[in-house]
Amino acid sequence: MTSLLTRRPAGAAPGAEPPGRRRRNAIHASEGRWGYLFLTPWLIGLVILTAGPMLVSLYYSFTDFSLLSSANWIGLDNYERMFTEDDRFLSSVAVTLTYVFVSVPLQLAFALLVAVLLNRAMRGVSAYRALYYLPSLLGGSVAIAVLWRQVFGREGVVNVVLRGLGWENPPTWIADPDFALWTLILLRVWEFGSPMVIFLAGLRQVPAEYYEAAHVDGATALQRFFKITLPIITPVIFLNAILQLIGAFQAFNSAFIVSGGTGGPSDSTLFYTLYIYIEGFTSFRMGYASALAWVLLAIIALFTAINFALSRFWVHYEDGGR
Amino acid sequence: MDRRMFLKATAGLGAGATLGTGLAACGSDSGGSGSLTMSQYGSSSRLDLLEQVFGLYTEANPDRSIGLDAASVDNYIDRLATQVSGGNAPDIMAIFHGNIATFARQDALLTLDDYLGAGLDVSEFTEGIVDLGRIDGSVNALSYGDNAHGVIYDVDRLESLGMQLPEPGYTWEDLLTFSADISRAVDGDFYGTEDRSTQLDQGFKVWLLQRGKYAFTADGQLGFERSDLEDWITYWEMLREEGAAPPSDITAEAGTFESSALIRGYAINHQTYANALNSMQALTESRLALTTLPIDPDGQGSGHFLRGSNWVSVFSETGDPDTAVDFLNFIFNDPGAVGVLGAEFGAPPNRALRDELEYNDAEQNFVDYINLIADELADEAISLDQEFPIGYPDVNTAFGAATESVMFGDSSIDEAVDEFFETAERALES
Repeated sequence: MTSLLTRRPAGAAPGAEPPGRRRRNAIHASEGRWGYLFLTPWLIGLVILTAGPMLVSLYYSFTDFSLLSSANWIGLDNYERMFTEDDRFLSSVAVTLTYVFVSVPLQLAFALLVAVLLNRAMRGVSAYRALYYLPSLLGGSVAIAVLWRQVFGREGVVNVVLRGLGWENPPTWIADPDFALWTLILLRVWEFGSPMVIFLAGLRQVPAEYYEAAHVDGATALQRFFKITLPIITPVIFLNAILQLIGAFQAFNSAFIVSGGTGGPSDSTLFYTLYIYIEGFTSFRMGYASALAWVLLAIIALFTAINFALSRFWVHYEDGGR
Repeated sequence: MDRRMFLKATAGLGAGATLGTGLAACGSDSGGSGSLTMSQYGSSSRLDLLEQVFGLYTEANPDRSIGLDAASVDNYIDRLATQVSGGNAPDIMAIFHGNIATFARQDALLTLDDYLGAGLDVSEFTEGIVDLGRIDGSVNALSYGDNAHGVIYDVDRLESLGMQLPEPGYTWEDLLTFSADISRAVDGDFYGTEDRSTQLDQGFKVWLLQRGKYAFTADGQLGFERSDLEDWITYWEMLREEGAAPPSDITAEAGTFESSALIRGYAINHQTYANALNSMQALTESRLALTTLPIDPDGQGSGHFLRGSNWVSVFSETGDPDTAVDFLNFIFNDPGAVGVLGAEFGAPPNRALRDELEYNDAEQNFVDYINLIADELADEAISLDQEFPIGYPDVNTAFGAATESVMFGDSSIDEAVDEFFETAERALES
């Protein structure tokens, strides 16, 4: 875009450099102003709806703010309490880490599998792609969580099928502390659409010559996948891993709906975000909830940083990473 | 805009932005103009009745009007707290009994003491009902009507098994054998009782009072001993082992009365606040009826005590407290208003009007039950201040966790009771 706008007029003499530069600067400046003008709605949103509340919540995290009356500064007490005497905080971290580190790899593996299957020339493939993307559009919604509650309930479809297969007394999946979290993990894996679309785009970029060469050398389909496809799309896998990891840490709706807002049974679905909500709006400890939120930010930043650090060992860029 | 206002405003924004809690645009800046807002949760038919009462009030006071701020019951209290935080809460607010003490302690509610007998007539109310709403000695909320703990039975199912509704005065032991008989008679198709062991604010309180104890003391500490909780959990373990109560996963799947084991067909009863009867009757073809919780033959009294049903408060920062209180007086004491609402919010607290109203069968059953409790069975009134001390949410969570862990077989009764007392005592001391 810039090069197009600043291209020197065809007939201009090389000696006419100074006025040209001035004109170019003028264009640049007005372009910048217009850019900011177009950004304004978003900037206002960022400052008022995101940055402002974030800063205020940072302040609240050092107070005993209850939402109902004004806040008093209590220093690091909230953070201290979290790490020294709050067992529920620890169990919410355990539940969340289990959820993230089981659901994300499964989801990515599933997304990649479906993407590979759909990355072939066959009739109606775009319809299939749309179909497989559908759960991602719906999955985060309240309606699907409500549906999930029914499907995995005592008289839900899952148990009707299991009884039909001869399991007389299957558990009530969402009401059994041993299984409730796994239904939520399954719900997340089912929402594989958006990583799938990104994988599809990545698969399209693998040069066909590599496959042809490998074919000539007698490589099997599995060998071609593991020796060619997988290494070349590692940057795409990395991108998906980062996005889904952050998303999974922030998951809220499914646990809120399926557990009726309690994180039950027996705190087995007490996601970190749900615990923040409970502290803020059930116990009215908004100061403590704010501190929890900032610790979540730190946890997500930490795992993202680890992900980036590890990426040096397994992510290969065709251009050498430049 | 000073700093406090700024913080309040941004707090509201933050909460709204992160959790999608709707911020009500309706302000309380009436400044004595006579136009107020009242928030209410519940069904659309309930809201319609309320709007009819608003209409009657404006008819009687042409210079005044009340607007409805309706909200879903699920996020009602988050929304209300956010409105209070932003200083734009409704002038008159429906509020859950479990939240009144918290709101009052943080000065969000108007104290009504000065209006009692002067603008707010409570002379026809059941004795003690006004005192339930006292927090730190001041009346901060009023109940739309008397309420009590009770057990709702599916009478049609009972009769199809040749059984009768248990008469008040039956014992906990009777409940066990009676329920086990039912479960056996139907071969486990459903159960003779639901399992309410995990609820602190239900039958457990009745069980305690039969032993002369309250869940909490007046100064906000635990009012019962280890042995009381051990006995309670042991009793319910016995019911589950005998097949009288359903297995844990059926119990854990239940939420509010709509998804109770009774409504879902897994149990023949639901132990709850008596005012749930009418709402539950609307959900089933079977005839439902109320009876008391069991008694302890070695204990004292019925253990039943007076509770409130639905509650209403006035926002402490309302611009027109006089009109707000006048409207409350209207809704409680005006024959027209009480006639419109009927038993929608509970048995009307004005006893003279309560006795004149006509009720449907379920409402009549509830009113008769409440009259029985209020006049003959109840002990002294326990204020919401005592029922919901500072730290209550954590104690309630710990109670659920301890009783559930035994129910799911994750810990022994001893371990669970230890865990509860440790957590609860820590929560109450801070």
